[in-house]
Amino acid sequence: MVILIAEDDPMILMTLETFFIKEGYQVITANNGREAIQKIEEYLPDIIITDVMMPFYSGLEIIAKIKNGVNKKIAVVVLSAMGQESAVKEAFELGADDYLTKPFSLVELSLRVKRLVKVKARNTLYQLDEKL
Amino acid sequence: MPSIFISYRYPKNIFFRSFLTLVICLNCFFLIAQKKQRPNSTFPNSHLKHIVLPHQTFNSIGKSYGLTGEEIADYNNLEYYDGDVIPKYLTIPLTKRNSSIDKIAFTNEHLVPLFQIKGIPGRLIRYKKNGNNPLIRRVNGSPLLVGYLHTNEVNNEVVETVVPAGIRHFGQVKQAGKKAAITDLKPAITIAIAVPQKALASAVVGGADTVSAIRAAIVLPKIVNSSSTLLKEKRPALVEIKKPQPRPATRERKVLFLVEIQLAITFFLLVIIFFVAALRNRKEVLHTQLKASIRKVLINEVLREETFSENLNRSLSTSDFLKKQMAKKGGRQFIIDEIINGRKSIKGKAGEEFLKLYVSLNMNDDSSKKLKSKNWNDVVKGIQELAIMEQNHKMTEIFHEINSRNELIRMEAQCALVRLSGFGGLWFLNVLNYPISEWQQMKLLSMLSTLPFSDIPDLHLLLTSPNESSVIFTLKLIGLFQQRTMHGEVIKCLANKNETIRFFAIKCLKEIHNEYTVDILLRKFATESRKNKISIVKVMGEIGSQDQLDFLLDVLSVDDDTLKISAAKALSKLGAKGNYLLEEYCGRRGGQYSQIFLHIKSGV
Repeated sequence: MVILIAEDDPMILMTLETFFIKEGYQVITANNGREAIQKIEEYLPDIIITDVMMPFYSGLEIIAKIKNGVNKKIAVVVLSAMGQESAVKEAFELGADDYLTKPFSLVELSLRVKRLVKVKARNTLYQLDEKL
Repeated sequence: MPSIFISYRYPKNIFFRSFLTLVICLNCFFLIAQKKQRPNSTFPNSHLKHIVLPHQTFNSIGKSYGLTGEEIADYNNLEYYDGDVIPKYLTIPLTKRNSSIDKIAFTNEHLVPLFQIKGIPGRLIRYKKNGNNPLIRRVNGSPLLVGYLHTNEVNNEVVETVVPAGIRHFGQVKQAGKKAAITDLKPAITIAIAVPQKALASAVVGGADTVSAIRAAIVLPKIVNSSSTLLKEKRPALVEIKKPQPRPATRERKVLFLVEIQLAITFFLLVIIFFVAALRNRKEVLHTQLKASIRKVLINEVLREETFSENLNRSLSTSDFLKKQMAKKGGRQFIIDEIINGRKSIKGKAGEEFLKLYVSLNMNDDSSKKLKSKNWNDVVKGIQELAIMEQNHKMTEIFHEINSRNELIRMEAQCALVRLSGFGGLWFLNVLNYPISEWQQMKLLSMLSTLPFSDIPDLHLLLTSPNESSVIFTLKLIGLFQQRTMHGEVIKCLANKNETIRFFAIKCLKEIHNEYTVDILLRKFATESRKNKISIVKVMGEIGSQDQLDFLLDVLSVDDDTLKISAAKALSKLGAKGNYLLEEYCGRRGGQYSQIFLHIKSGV
């Protein structure tokens, strides 16, 4: 399972990278929105964990690009310091699959990612079943 | 191009930007300097001196020298104007347009020869062409033709031509026994004005010998009078000089010299810039690597599954690198920043690990030290660090900053106390000497709004604070958290002398009202200020009942428009009966009231 982490804070990025590698995922990192978009096209990750406030493209712009493009099946988890209702609503309306406000728990994030992986696997199975 | 490259690669570097600015400025300076040089000069740095006659204008003078009036004015650093020229003399440039070395004239053009006088180096005199070679006769000294002035009209006035000492045009040297004589000149051959006897004697027509003769003339500038004798003996009627090879003019040499200096400086600066850039680049790379390594070590410590103390001991014993970094002042601060950054973003077990790491490395002492700093930035940073890392035992130190002269320190200390002990931290309101700004109130309320309601302490003491802003903040707090038990205390605030406190008390009562609130507010209405009257009417619309319809209809009849509109809005909020009464009243009164009714009905 490939996870792309887009975060401009190097400390958080490295923490998430180390944590998810330990959890057994294949991790790709991006320091900014532009790099994230490039790597999404290059690696086609299964899940994206993205910050909202980033240089070049914000996390919400990344979601908009993914969900309006070919790779709309990629699950997106948003990490943000903005916990306001409007911010959460905007992210979900754009197509985010989950939203966590900072400070967040790594364990909670991991559980949410695992749930998204299960949902994705189930959807794939349904699709295969329908095809068969 | 290198400048662009550097500015692109190191856009944030002030040092490089300064250097680049200097280089650009130098370039601009030299470009301007070069631009000011007058181009297309036939005789570089040479000019004619014109004696201004009465009623001459720039245009008339320019016309006689094949130039425009503006050019003449500009060359003399004067402003062009269409009137009599005031200066007695004007210098006329010798350009390719109005002079030539060759004797070639176009139709309607007069050629006036330019001579250099022997014995007066650097000066030429032009005379009107008059009869058979009058030029030679009338000139005191040995004239030498150096070129021609092209004019549309022949002037009678005498002008002098000034040629710098570096400019020399040479005619032909012909050996005539022991004496040299000037004869008809041939193309590509030059002759010295002041040729020493020896040189003349050895000179031959054309070839390298001529050149050596000229060199000798330059090296040995002893003037031989015999040359003038020679000229007197056999003078050419018209001396032609074709294809001369003038030496670079002094001004040109100066500009060339300046350009060379500029290029040298630019090159030198570029070398320095590249050298320092390379050094800085290397330093940045090392710093980045170092930071990444520190982060890696910290993250490994935080995400380790074993107990913390074991981890730390292992880390410190195994990682000399981390030890070294902690010993350094900058390195230590970087570690503090990263730990705090991690703690701010991550909670749960990992967040706790950041906290433990901070304490174990005694970084709380570093933060405490910052509180004693004279620099307010450090104090604010120290307070932030202690608050984020939940150092409750440092609250006393933070509390000392509550009444700091610096507003930012005060604000940070207030936020830190609230962050550390929630509602309990609000006891600073009792001892606060300074007012709390609106912004700070919003910030504190925002922080408190995330806390559980059950933790709210008894706030009645805060309502008696001598600090008015503290009382206002408490009223906001009571309203926001709907502390109905404080109703009686808030009612007491309606008797406060401060109008603003009464205003916020009325607003607060809207949130915590009970069955007595409306009557109390109605009793206060008559004695209240206009602002507070409007506030009471608005509150009636929110918490009133049909019992207040008559009161609101009475308010509707007062002279104050804002009060009228507030009363109309309040009536419209009090159900169907209120709306009916409003419509009926406005219809009966007509005019302005009809407009108010339409205004309310449209929902504006």
